[in-house]
Amino acid sequence: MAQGFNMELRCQQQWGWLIATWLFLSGSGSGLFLLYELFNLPSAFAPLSLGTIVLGGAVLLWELGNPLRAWRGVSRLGTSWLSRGTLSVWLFVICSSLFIAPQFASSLPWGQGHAIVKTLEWIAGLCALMITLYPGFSLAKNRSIPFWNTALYPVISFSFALMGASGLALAASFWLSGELRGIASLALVVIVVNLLLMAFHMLVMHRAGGASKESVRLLNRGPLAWTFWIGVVLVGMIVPLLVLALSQLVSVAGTGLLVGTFLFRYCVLKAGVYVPPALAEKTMDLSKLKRPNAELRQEYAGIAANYARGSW
Amino acid sequence: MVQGLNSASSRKVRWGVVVDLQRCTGCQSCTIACKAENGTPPGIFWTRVLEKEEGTYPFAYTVYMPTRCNHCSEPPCVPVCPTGASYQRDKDNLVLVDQDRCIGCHSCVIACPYQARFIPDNAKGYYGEQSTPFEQVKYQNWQVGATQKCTLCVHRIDQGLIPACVETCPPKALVFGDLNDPESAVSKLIGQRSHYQPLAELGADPNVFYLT
Repeated sequence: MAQGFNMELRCQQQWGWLIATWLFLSGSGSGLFLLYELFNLPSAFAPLSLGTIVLGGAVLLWELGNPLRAWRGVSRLGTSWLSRGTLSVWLFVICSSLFIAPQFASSLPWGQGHAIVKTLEWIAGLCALMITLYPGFSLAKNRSIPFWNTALYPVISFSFALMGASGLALAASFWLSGELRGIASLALVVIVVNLLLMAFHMLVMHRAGGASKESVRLLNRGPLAWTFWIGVVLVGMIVPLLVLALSQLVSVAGTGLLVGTFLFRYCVLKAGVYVPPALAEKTMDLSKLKRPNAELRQEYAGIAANYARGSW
Repeated sequence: MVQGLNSASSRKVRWGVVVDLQRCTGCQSCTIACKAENGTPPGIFWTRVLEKEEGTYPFAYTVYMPTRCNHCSEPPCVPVCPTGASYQRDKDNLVLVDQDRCIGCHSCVIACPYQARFIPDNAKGYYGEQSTPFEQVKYQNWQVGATQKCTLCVHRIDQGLIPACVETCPPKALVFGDLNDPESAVSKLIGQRSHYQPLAELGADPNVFYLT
C-alpha cells in the first residue's frame, strides 16, 4: 500500500475530457459572438454562438458531482473566478437570447436599432469577452500547478478562444450562407500568434524546472506527445495555416482549427503537474546517516567478502 | 508579510500538528486510525504516510513523511470555491467543507498543493455493494460527488479530545496543539528543533510543521 504513496511528480487527475470539452465549447462560442460583433458576421452566427455556449454549460453540469446545486455557483463572486465565469455565462445566455429573439419573432416589442437591443448587445459582448478570459484566470490562480500558474494563461485562453471561434465560423460557413470577410485572415494571424505563445510558454516552463519542466516533458516526449504534436500543432495549426494560405477550402481549415483548439485545451489540463511534496532529503539533517568514508569502505569490504564466501 | 484580517495571528486558536520525522517509522497507524475514525471510502486517505527511498545499495534508507490537510492559515482551496462550501472556521483555523453546499466542481481539489482533498464518485464499501454496519453509519458524514478532506477530527477537538491519528501514533511522532499558545507542546517543539513547513513557498502558511 505504501508504495502508492511515493513522493513523485504527479499530474492532476480531476479534470479531463469533459472539462476540456466545456472549455472548448464555451471559449469558441463566446469568441464567435465577439467575431460576430466585430466582423459583422451573418445573423445566423449569433444563435450558433449561443447554442455552443449552452452546450458547453450542459457538459459542465454533467461533469459536476452535484449538478442540481449548480445554481449555488455564483455565491463567491469576490474570490472565485469560477463564480464570476458562471455569472457571465448566465448573463450572456439571458442577454444574447433577448438580443437574438427578434430574428425569430418580429412581433416582439424590441427590434433592430432599439436602445434595449443595443444595451443587450453590449452586455452580451462584455460577458462573451469575460467567458473567453476567465478559464485562464481560473487556471492561473492555482499555485499548486506551476504550468498553469502564469499571467500568460488568460492571454492564451483568449487567443485559443479566438482560434476556436475562427474555426467554428469557417467550418459553419459550409452550411450557413453569408460572407465571412476577414475571418480567414484573422485565423492566419491567430494561428501564428498561438504558435509563438505556445513556444514561449513551453520554453519558459522548461527552464523553470521541477513540475513545470515535467509538464513540458509530458507534452514533448511523454504520453501527450502524439496528441500535442500531431493533434494540436500539425492538424490543428500547421495544416489549417497551409490550407488557408494556399487554397479556398476554408471549412476544411476550420475543422482543423476546431480539432486543434479542443486538443490544446485537453493537453493543457492533462499536463498539469503538482509541485511535489517537500522532498525531505533537502531539508532533513541526514548527517547522522552519513558515516565517514573509511567506515563505509570497511563495511562494504565486509559485504563483498561475504558475497565471495557465498555466506549470504 | 502583511497579514489579512483572517490571518492566523488574529485568531484566538490556531490548531496545528508537529510531525517528528526522526520518530516516524512509516507504520501507517495514523492512516488506519483515520480510516477507523472517519470511515472514508476505499481509495481515499485523509491522512497517509509518503515514502521516499534514498541512497544506493547497500546504504539505502527510506524517508517517511506523514501528510494530511495542513489547515493552512491562508488556504488556497477556500477562495476558489464558487459556492462557499469550503470555508475556514472563524474561531480557529480549521478548513472544513459544507457537504450540503458543495457542487463537486473539483476547483478546490486542484487548488490544494498537498493533494489532500477528495471527491468520491460512489458510496461503495470495502466489501462489495453491500455496506457494513460500520460503513452505513460513517458514510452519513459525507456525500457522493462532494469534496471531503481531513477535518483534524473536528468532532473530537470540539469535545476536548485530540485527533485520532495523533492519539494512535505509536512512536509519538505526531503532536497536536495550539500554535498561538507559546506554552503548548507544539510551540515548544517548533522553538527547540529545526523544522520546515511543506511547500511554504506557495504562500499558504500551512499549520503542519515537520521536525528534522
